[in-house]
Amino acid sequence: MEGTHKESPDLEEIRSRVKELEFSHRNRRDESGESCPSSDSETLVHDFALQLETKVKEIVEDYYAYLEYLRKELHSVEAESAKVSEEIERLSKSHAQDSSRLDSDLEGLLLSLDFLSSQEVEKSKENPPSSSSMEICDASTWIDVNDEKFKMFELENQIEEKRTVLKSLEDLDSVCKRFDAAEQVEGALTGLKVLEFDGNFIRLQLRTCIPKLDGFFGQHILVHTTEPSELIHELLIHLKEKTTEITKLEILPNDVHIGDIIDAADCFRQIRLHSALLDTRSPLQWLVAKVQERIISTTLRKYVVESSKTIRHTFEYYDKDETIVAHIAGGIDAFLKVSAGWPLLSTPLKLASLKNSDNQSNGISLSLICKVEELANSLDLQTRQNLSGFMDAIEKILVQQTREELHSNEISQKLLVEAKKQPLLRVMEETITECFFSPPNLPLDMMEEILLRLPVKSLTRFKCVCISWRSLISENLFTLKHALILEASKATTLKKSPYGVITTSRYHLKSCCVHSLYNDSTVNVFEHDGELLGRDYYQVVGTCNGLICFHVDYNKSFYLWNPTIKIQQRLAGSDLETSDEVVVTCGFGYDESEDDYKIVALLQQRHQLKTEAMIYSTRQKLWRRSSNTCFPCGVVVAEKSRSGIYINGTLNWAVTNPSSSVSSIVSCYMSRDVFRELHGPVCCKRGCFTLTLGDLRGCLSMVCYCKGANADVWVMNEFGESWSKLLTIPGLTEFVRPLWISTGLVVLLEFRSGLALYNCANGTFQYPVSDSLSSCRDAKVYVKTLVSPSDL
Amino acid sequence: MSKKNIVLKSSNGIIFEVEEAVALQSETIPYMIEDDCANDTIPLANVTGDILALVIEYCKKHVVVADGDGGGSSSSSQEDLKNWDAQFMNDLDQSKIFNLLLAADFLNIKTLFDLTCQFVADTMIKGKSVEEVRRTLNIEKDYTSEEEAKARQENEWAFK
Repeated sequence: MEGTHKESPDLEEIRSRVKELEFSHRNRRDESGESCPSSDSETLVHDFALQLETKVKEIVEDYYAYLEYLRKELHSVEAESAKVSEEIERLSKSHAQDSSRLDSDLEGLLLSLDFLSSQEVEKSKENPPSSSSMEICDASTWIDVNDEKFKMFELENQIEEKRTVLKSLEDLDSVCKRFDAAEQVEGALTGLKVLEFDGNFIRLQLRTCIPKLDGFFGQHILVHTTEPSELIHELLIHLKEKTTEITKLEILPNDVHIGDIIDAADCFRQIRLHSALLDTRSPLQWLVAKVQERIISTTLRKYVVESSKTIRHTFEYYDKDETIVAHIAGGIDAFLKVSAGWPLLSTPLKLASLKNSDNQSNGISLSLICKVEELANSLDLQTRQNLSGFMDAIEKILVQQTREELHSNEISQKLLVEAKKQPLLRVMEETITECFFSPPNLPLDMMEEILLRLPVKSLTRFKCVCISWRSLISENLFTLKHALILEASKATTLKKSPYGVITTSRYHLKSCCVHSLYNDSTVNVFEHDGELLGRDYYQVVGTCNGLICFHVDYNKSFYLWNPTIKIQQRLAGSDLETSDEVVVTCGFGYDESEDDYKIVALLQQRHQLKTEAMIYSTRQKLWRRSSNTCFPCGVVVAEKSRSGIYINGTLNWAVTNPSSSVSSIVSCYMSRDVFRELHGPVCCKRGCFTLTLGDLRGCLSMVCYCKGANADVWVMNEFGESWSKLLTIPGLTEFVRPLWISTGLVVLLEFRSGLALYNCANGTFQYPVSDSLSSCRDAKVYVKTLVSPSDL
Repeated sequence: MSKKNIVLKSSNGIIFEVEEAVALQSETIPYMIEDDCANDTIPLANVTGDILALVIEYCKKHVVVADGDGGGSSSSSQEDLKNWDAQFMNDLDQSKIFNLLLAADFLNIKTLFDLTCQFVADTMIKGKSVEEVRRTLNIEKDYTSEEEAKARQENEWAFK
């Protein structure tokens, strides 16, 4: 803009300059007229002309520039105005459009107004009677008058029909009243259906839900039969003419005694007639309710009676007499009167009578019966609610009373005689107070002692006895104590079932019960790889307190596993990296002082006599070098002695000493990580070979193949120095070790190709013990415990 | 060496006189002798006469110290002793067994205590149903029905 200002010269300025020019021009003319030297004036004029010319040129130029500027201005203004006119045009156009639309709208409104008014006229003409036609009214459809008329005819017809129905209903009024009663019953009770109703005869279907007993009492043994849940009966009720008085009642299937209910129903009706409606139910309703009640109680009673059956007692329920007959061992029947509501309500049973089964009461004296009845019926309520519990109590009382009756005199005499005979036992006074019916409640620590002596399965089941038992049995200390008792009793017990044998065969881990190996014609062998790491080359390191320590080929980790409770655990940090130049021999045991399970690994450099020991602690979850004492120098772990044998806090390996011909054993004390060398049995100076160690019922055993002819089994006495020869198996050079020996001197032997039983008494073999155990090796006996590898 | 006798008195006042060796199978009695005047009778407030008679019967059978006098002590073979134990326990009723257990605990006679515990475990509890155990040992069920059902489910394998 500034540029244009500078460039655009003012018109006024141009004019003033032109004037200036004229003025100077006039002046020159005047000057030239006054003093006119011709030559001078000529040049002067020339100069002046030149000056004038340039000035004029300037002015013209300026003028043109100004014109140019004006033209530009004009152009812009023109463009502006064109825009404005365009806008105006657009506005006018839209206005025109709007107005036309408005027009058309107005026209539409007018049209619709016209239409409406015409409709009004139409309607007033037709004068329609119902509001429904108003609703139907639609701009596009015209209601046909004829159609409407037809509909009205139809309605009239319907009304006619309804009237006839009503009439017939009125005719049936009396029947309906009776029917109502039945319907009332149907409404009041669930599961009732009227199947037939004919004059004086009603057929009802009665569906009875039997309530679950669980919630009512846990003391009943409900295991033998499945609990009934729903029963369907049919009731046939015959009524007296035109009344609701019942003449006959039948039930199908006829498994419930209802004879007395009819009489009761009659009574109920009588009372109802005379008294002022105590019960608002109709007699029929009352009857059906009563029958249903009876079905429930009878079914439940029969069920409980059936379920309470034990080896000693069988029961029968007679619903007509509401009596349970219990057959007790010894040919005696007890009659128990069932009180109303049992077993759903906590009402007690009552001993009504005792009888010999053959109906001759000569075995039981009347006084005895009276006494037993009196004692039995004075038992506490809880005992008397429970059928089998009550029977047990009755039996006990019966036995006690019979004994007392028969021997009361003799007993007192005998006691006196004994007192005289025994010089050390002087009876000063005698106040025998025995309670036969409630044994003393043992304190929990005593219970624990008893529970510790139970097998795993019973213990697991008894977690359900009560809360304190569950928490006790679940305690780690308890499971450990239990395991230690089992381990300790291995030497003396007569029982074989708490012990199992674990073996490996090509890619499988198998187990079976020691008991079944000895007793069953078909040994139950379990294959475990499915529940473990799948098909793999399992190597059992050792077993202790029911735990089995194993590792597999593909990784370096060790695993703990309890086959009894089926829990396994990878031992964290147990990977043991060794070079190929090292021969590794392991053992697994328990350190009681630290309550720690340990793996001891012996690392022996090939072709060297030096062995290094590493110890893994499951508590610390790491390997460390044995710090206290080193593995004895100069001995080599015998090749046959693959894994250490855990006996009573020590791990043992058979070793060979190149410098000595005597067999020896290296023993590691778990609690101190101390190794020491023990002498093996001195069998014969020469000719003994292949010395294998084993755990034979808690004793360290060693097998010597004496002169290549006999296999001698030696056991270490206590834990120390002396050995004794337990048995000799002639002509045997192949087996590895004995696993178990029964009191009948039948030995379970592990061969390189399976298990065998050898009877020392008659020298016979049974091989293989089980087909599925052939080609099993590395057998070890473990105890069945609750010790969990995941709780260590 | 003359045999020394010890006099024991039951809770209901019955007096028993036994050889020292018999009595000393109890680890409790030596303390009582030390604490009390040894010449007097030793009162056993927790044991009734009939039970104490059983305890003494057992101890006499199991006394291992044999004196040269050819006295009443016996040294039976292990096998015979086991059979005797079994018979001894079998002749007792439940109430007697429980009281014997409590007495063996109080008198601290380890072998008798073990025998009784094992007998109770084997004959009264092992292989029994939960309900039977509750009844036999007079244990009140403190589980709710739901809790018990849950516990049963958790330990399902033991019910098969």
